[in-house]
Amino acid sequence: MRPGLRRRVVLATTCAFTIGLILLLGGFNWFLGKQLSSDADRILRSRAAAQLANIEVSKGTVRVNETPGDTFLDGQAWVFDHNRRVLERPLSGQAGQPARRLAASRVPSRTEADDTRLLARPIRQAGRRLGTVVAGVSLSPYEHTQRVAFIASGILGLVLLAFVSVLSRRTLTVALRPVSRMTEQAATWSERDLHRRFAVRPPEDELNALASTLNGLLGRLDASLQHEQRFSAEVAHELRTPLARQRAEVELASRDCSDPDAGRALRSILRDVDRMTVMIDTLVAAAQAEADPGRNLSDALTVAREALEIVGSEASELGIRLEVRSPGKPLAVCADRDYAVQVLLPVVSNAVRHASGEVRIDCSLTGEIVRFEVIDDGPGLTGPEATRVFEPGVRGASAKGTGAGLGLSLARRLARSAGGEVSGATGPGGRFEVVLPAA
Amino acid sequence: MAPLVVIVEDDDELRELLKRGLEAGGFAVRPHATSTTALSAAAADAPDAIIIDIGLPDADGRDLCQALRAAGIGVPVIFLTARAALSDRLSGFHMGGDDYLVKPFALEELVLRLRAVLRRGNGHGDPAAGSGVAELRLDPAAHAVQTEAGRIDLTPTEFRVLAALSARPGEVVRRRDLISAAWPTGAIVHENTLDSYIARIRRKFRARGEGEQIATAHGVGYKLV
Repeated sequence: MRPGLRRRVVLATTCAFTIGLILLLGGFNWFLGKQLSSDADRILRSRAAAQLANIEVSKGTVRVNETPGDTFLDGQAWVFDHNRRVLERPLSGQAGQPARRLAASRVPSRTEADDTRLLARPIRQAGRRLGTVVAGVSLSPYEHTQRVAFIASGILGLVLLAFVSVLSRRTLTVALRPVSRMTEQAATWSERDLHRRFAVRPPEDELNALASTLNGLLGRLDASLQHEQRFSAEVAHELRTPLARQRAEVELASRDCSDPDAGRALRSILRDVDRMTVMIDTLVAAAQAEADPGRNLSDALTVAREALEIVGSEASELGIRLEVRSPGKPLAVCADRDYAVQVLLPVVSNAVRHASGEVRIDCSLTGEIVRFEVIDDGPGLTGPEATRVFEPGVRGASAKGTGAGLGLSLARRLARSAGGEVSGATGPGGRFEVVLPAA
Repeated sequence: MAPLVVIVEDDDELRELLKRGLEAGGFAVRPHATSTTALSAAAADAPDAIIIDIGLPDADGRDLCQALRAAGIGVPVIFLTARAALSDRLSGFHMGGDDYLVKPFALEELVLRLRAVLRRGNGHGDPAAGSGVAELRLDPAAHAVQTEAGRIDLTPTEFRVLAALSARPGEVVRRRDLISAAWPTGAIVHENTLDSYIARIRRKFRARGEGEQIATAHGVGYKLV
């Protein structure tokens, strides 16, 4: 599974949730503040009204009726006469000065000082202002409540955030489990396991739709591969009987032949038949390899010798000397022997046709690969040819005799099927490299 | 006397060329174009070795080989084939072949291999002789079997199972050998599939009024009795 996807989705979920949480808790704290403030105002108003009700005005003077034990009024209330002399003050209270200032001012009738909110109400009789009642309420309990609410909501928010992030991680892991299962499944399949399919179980969700689509794709690939295999097998089958006929005919004819020129011609035909046979074998092997390359082990030196043996008669006819060099210790190649020979053969056969006197195979082990360097003393490849000769149907400029230009492209295809490679280097001298995984 | 080789090859030209090549190699040759003629003439021919093309027009060469074995002809068989895949080669050996040559081949090689199989002799012997087992005549072209009571038609797989049994009458043929003879290499054959095929063959024999032909060797295989 791509680790980034889950992290990204969890991050996005957490971010979105954080923003929502901030807005929600901010709104809650703002609303709570408003509510507390209006509660304080209500208490202030009732306290001022109660104080006003407790005042007696007679002949233009203000008198405060004492109500013993009235803690409500004693709480926070001042009464000033029109000369701003204090007629009544709370037993305890720090806001004496602000209350006096508020009593003196016409507007505003409301102020806050020293954690106390103050409200002034004029004492009037017949339109004359005789004094002022100032009621106060301490804001510290409200502020405390708000602070506690703020901290509590903050903690709640953090807990929720952690919970959501863990939960989303878990949910996502569970939701993506089919994806990891598919990935694991696909990872255990080799590129040739085209007959394998992803399990599609209910419910019909997006992942199952993906699995079905991939299964369809695998099915089509499988069908086309099988078609190719069948086609190659059929072509090979159709060609083999006429080739067998031709070979037998030429073989019998060359036995009875006394004319040296005709003998040469017949031997050349035999070589061509053998070359075509090699080509058919390689073609069929390539088609089969895509389905099952085989993973047996073979010895590099044996493979090289076998390839040289097959081209031996052609080489001796052309006067080409063949040689194998190896480091003296066995080099195990991770491929069936027949298969490895099929990879090497077109390259060696190509070298024989282009060489002027010698073809050599150098076997060596480099890290985890076995390298067959096929070197001939022919003209070699030009720069552009080094890549083009591996395209089907392309033949080098110095190619002698017949050939469809398929051998090298097939060799490369075979090598790649087995996890190797065939490449060519530019001249002077032909230099090809066949690389196969070492065992 | 030159060893007699029967060639069963449908391609006229190739058959003729093989005849010439083998005669030049010191063999007496009797060519046949179809499995039917080869099978009917086999007893009279009494060959020392048989060369069979797998892709015959009227039957699979491997079935012909099994039918020849069932008819008591145990001489070495070399298959010729245009199919080179390992599974084809293996099935050739499972069907009683002694060697296998992929077309195109060198005549010289065919001659050498013929000599080799003749020298080696063969382990097939003369299976029907002395075994006391009722002789079955197999017809590979029709996938049928001829018994004393008459002709029984079989499916190709049933035919191959029966042919593999009748090639070694009186002997227990292991389950694995029966499966490799009757099913293509690599085919997934479940344990009870073979049993159900045997059951079908037994049913067909019973329907003809034949007695019990196939005995079960529990856990090992089956044998023809």
